[in-house]
Amino acid sequence: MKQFVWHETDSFLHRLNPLTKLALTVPVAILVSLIFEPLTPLAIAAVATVATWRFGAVPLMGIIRPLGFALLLGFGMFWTGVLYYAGQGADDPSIVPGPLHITEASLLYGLTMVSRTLAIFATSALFVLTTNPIDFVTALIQQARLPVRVGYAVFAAYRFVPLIQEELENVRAAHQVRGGTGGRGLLAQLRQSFGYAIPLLAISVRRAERVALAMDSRGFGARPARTYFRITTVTRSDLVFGVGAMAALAAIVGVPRVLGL
Amino acid sequence: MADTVIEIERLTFKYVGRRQLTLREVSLNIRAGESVLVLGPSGCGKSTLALCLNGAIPHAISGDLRGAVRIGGLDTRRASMADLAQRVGIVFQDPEAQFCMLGVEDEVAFGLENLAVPRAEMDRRIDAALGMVGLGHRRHERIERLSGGQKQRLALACVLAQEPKILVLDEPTAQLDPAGTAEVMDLLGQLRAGGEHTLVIVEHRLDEVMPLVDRAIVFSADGELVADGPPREVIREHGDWLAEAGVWTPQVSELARDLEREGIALDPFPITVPEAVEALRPHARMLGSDGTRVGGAMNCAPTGSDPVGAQFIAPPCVAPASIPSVHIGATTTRRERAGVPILRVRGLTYQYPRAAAPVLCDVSCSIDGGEFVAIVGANGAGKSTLARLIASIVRPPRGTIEVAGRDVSQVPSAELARSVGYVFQYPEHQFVGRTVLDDVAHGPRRAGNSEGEAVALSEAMLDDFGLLRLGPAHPFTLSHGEQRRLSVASMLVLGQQMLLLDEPTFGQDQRNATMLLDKLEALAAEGRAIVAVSHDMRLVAERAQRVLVMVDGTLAFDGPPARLFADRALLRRARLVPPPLWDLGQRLGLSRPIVQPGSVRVGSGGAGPIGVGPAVQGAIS
Repeated sequence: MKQFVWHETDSFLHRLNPLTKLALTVPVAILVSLIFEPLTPLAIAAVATVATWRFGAVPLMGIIRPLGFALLLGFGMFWTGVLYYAGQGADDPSIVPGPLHITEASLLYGLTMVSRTLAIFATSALFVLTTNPIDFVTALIQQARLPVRVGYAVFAAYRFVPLIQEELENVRAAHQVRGGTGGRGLLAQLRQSFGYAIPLLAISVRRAERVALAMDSRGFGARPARTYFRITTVTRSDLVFGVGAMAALAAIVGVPRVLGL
Repeated sequence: MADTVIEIERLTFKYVGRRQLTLREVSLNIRAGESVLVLGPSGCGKSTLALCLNGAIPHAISGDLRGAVRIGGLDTRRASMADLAQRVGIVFQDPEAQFCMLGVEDEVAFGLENLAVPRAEMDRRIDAALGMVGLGHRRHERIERLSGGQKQRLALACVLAQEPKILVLDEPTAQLDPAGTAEVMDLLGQLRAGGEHTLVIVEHRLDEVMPLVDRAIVFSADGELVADGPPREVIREHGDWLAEAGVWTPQVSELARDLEREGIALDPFPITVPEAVEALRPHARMLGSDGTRVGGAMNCAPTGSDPVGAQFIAPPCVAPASIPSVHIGATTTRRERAGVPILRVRGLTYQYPRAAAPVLCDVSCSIDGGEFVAIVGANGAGKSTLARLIASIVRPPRGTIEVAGRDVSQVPSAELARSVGYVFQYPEHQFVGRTVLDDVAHGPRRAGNSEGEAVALSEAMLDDFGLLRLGPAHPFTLSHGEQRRLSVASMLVLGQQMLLLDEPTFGQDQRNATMLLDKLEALAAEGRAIVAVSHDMRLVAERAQRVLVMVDGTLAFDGPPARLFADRALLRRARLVPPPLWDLGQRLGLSRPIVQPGSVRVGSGGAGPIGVGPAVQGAIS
């Protein structure tokens, strides 16, 4: 999942307001949950992937890799769906020889589950891969009225998480060198985690205090108003993107149905 | 005075929840353009003073503040942090804990946004600030990709963008490698030469910082201002007191004070390497072209096995000036005892999972019992990885590392812990017990000793490290020096034959560092292998018998420190800087700047230990 982060470059999608891209996931999620067949969500996934590739300047592999994860997740859902399907047509004769009871309806159900997952992942990928997290939080502050303090806490946390992971590694290593805290089994593991928790907490709190102190020292929150270096606005591009995306969705859903396919 | 920019009037401060005052009735005026060094033992309120100057106390940290701090006439209690940020900028010690954004330019912009600087002006200010610290070309970089030195320079740029006239630097180089330290010191030198800023610097790398300051103030352990004046006078007149309090002083000044004690008064009293070169030149002949000059603690016969407890109260031993060269005790014995191979590394190449390139490339070396070895190199050169592989914190590839003849990759970690101890840079990481005694007893208990045995072993260990009276205390409540000693004690309680230490002198004052290193030398003399990963070149020059230099994952050098420091090309390649006294010897043109340990000791003055090992050695020998 390490690859599922902002792909740093410049493109049409990168220049959009992050909230516009995020907003797209909502109609897609609603749509795919209403549609019960695998092809439409699959088409949505494909279009979103191509859009991220063409308009977001993200290398195709960079998109397919996180989608691979979705596929893995989907695989589980597929089999669950196929084997435990209990809807209409569940009692039809199996379409494969052998002990597995797989009906046409259950196969369709499994495939639908997978393609739904792919559609939602691909749309999220469009957002995540083309959005600088700083811009996202900035947009939340500037357009969605997120309180400034909360927004900057998110920024700080962004820097902080990898540091804490590193500290956890250190604490774990230190305990290991000391011969561990003893024993296998759940109880011993619990005790062990507790042994990590206290030094980790102490270290994290100290680090967090230092960051807060450094922020305060630079006058954070000391003036009633602040100016912004990065400005996120809603531009004509956002409008173009919004209309385009809706048109594409409408086409994917509508065209085959109008043509009676 | 008209141009006084900082006025401190009877400042007294107590943190919430502490009984002791941290600052006590401090009165002080600092004029525009002055560069002031703040000295004092650890915990004496140096950082607290720094936080009072920018208003973080009382605005961000509460406590009981009495007296007044005025910055350009503005009372810090009444001014807002934003107004103060435009007058006083502060840089802290931890390069990882002063940023809240991901990108370089965003970080600089953050401070400008806080001050509501118009957006149109930001670009110019960001450019100017990054240009001043030499990071103009990294403007669009992510912060995580900067080195430690660059991060500290960025921290300074962030502050400079807010255009304050006063800069406060709280140990800005404490966590940097030698090259990073040099970067920051150079930058401070430029700022000082620019003449636009007033500097207040808390720093313990005295030799490097001395050329940058024109005034020194000294705090006592209970937060009183005890000395204030030109650095030369302060260091000269209060040298004994400073040494006793464990405060780092310039190495050249320690040397000068030792010589003074022997009747050689240097004039002027040197506080920087170039000054010492000048002052010593007339004496150079007497120093002996074979470089066998002796000083302070030199002829104190080391008695390798002395417990560390009672050494530091002892008076300094004065060496008769006539003794030409001394090769004593510990070194030779240690050499004779050597020969038991504890560690053998063969063709070690290691790549972290998912990393693009190996961190270690074909490293081979072996370490014998009785050796004191330092591993040095720039950050990222692979020295910590090497140490971690040896301790099997990171599992090494099969057949590459043997400890006491056994392949480390095949030994369960609990078992390996009995032969290899690993002391972490931050002692808090490794404390597992709720009390000091518990923490040490953890090892023996896990190793299957009975409760009685475990406690007895631990108590003996604590006694050896002067910590016995702290047995019932919680490890987190100990002082820096005590925590460090505890972390070493608990790694030795199983009789570990090899001890790996990550930056053992980090955050330690001089007295604690000396005490610890003496102890480590004593352990080596007992036949254990001591391996220290360190940026502290002083430690390397004074204590290590051998030094391993890592450059980009390869072992670039394995030999005595003297040969390393004589090899300029290698030093440059490894981004290392020789310690001040070595530099001095070389500039004086002494033919053999460092001979083998033991031949020359320049004692660390009043607090200089007798007993276990050489205090400071290899100066101008």
